[in-house]
Amino acid sequence: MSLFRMSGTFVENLPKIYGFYTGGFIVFILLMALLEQAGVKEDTIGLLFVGFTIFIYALIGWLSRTMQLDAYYVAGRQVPTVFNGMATAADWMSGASFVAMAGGIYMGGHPYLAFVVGWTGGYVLVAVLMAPYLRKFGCYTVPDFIGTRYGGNFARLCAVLVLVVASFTYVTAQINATGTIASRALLIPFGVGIWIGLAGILLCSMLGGMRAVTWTQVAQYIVLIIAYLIPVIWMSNKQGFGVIPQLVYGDAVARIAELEQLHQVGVLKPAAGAAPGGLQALVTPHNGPPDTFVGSVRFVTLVACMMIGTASLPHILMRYFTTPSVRSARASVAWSLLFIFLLYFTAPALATFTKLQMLDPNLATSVIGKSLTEVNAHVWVQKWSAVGGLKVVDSNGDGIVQVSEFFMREDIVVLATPEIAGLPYVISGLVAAGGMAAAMSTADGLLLAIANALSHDLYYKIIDPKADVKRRLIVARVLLVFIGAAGAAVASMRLTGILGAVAWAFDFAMSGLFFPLVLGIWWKRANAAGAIAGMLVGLGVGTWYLYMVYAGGMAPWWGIDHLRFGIIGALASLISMVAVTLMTPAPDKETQAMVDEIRIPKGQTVLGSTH
Amino acid sequence: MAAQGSLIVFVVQLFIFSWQQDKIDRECGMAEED
Repeated sequence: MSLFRMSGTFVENLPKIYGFYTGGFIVFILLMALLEQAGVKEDTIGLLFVGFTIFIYALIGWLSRTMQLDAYYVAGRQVPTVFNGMATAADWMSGASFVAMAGGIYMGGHPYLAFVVGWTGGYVLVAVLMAPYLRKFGCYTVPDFIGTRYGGNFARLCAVLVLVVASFTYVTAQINATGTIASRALLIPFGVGIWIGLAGILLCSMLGGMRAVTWTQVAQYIVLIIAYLIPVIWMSNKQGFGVIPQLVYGDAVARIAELEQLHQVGVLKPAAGAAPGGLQALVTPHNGPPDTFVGSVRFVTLVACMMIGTASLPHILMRYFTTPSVRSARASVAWSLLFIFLLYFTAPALATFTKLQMLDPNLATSVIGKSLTEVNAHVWVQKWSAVGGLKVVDSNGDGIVQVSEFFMREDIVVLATPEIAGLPYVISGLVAAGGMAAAMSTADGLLLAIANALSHDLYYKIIDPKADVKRRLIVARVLLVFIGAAGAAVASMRLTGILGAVAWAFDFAMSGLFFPLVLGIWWKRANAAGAIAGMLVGLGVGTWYLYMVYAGGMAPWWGIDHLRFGIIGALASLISMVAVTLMTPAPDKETQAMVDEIRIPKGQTVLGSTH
Repeated sequence: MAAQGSLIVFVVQLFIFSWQQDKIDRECGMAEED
């Protein structure tokens, strides 16, 4: 850092450091634009974007290496409020938010907004019910809280189990997303892309633990938000809707409604068996709210699952363990949501403008209603068809591409948007780097949550309480590598789509952890037996329901399908936890006093800074 | 647009909550020392 002659501590210089970083990144984008003008090949630009950003993250990871316990587990508890907000936003916005969400809205229309509402509203629960109190508690991991609040290794073990199930489901989806992007940008097979992505992820987190992950996540947030906003603002300008697309895209929605009439969206159905699995034609109108009772129930239950799931996901909760005080943990939740809001507020606008680009016959970029030869002449149609993301089939043989004859995978919508809209290739490279940043930052947080729970709670607290600091940190790193490799191995099987696997992770987390955490803070009477019952019954019933609905052929109850099984799991968790608690003796005076203590900001944390 | 509006409400609500809760903590003498 002596290069820029900084005085004061590292934390005081953070705004300056990230200011330089952002400026440097913008210079890099301009440089790439110049190279493109100078005739450098598109593939080289894509490669430079993804390669350069991964190199920067790895460098930050290496500079943040540490051998101290509280630096490794909670970044030394000195991450300033606003920076923790940015890091949480990157931790939170995964491949699903960046790559798949706008695509979901594009294909599914209104029902997909449930994801947007749920994933933001969840932070209200985090701020009010969880984050400040867990910060006051002073734990390293979420099972650390369960284990100390309820007492006993078995409760701790159950919490580790739920954490691993939920986070592992989530991390496979993220590694899958890094593989998808890396294979497209670096021009390598998907199977190899996954392992390259994993190597990048591990470089960021292995040497510095939470400290390294925090500072790379801030860097990744800056890349991903720039990459998401630029194409949307550009398209909005080009189509004449002004520079703040989020506010004016109502007009664009109205235009889409006209075009949907013209192209008969929702009337034309694709011919059966025309496209391979995963590829969809546009059949749902853009702005139709559910008009049936079951439709409304489905919207509300999905919002509830995503909200409660947010408040129970350990990799999010543990970000608030890193702030200097209880007050800053609380304020940090608000900042996190503001940074997340910047992207989520834009996603529906992106879906709308992309759809307009493809439907509006007045725009040169449109494909629907054009002749088959014209459509196949687009470079992006050829490129994405080649990697299996897109397919055009002239089912009725009239030589014109109807809306029911154009198939796309929903998770390519964001990545392909710059090409669809005819923007310079440098923007495509930028979006690929942004998607990579989103998927890597979340994967880092998740892998660390799993490895920390196993090394701190399972290894140190249960298996070998006499282990010294060095041994604990080495175990943590070895576990990180093994879990990452296991995640990559599962991801390479491509079991589900990105959005589906992410929704399951939320459902697992809420089934097993939500009520044991909330009642642990807000109900002094809650005891170990109740918490164990809540975790095991919740996880068990949730998993059973998922299996029955997804694979067992059972009809879903009241429209609660496999994406929403957390509703059933969490309900079972609540009932069993309250019932078992009331049947067994209340916790001792000491535990009750501890619960009183975590509810007020004043005073020492319950657990010491190294434990 | 209802979905977009609810996002704005969530953000504003959290900043107000954080500020008000801090005020209550101070008034009751339960806030952390600076």
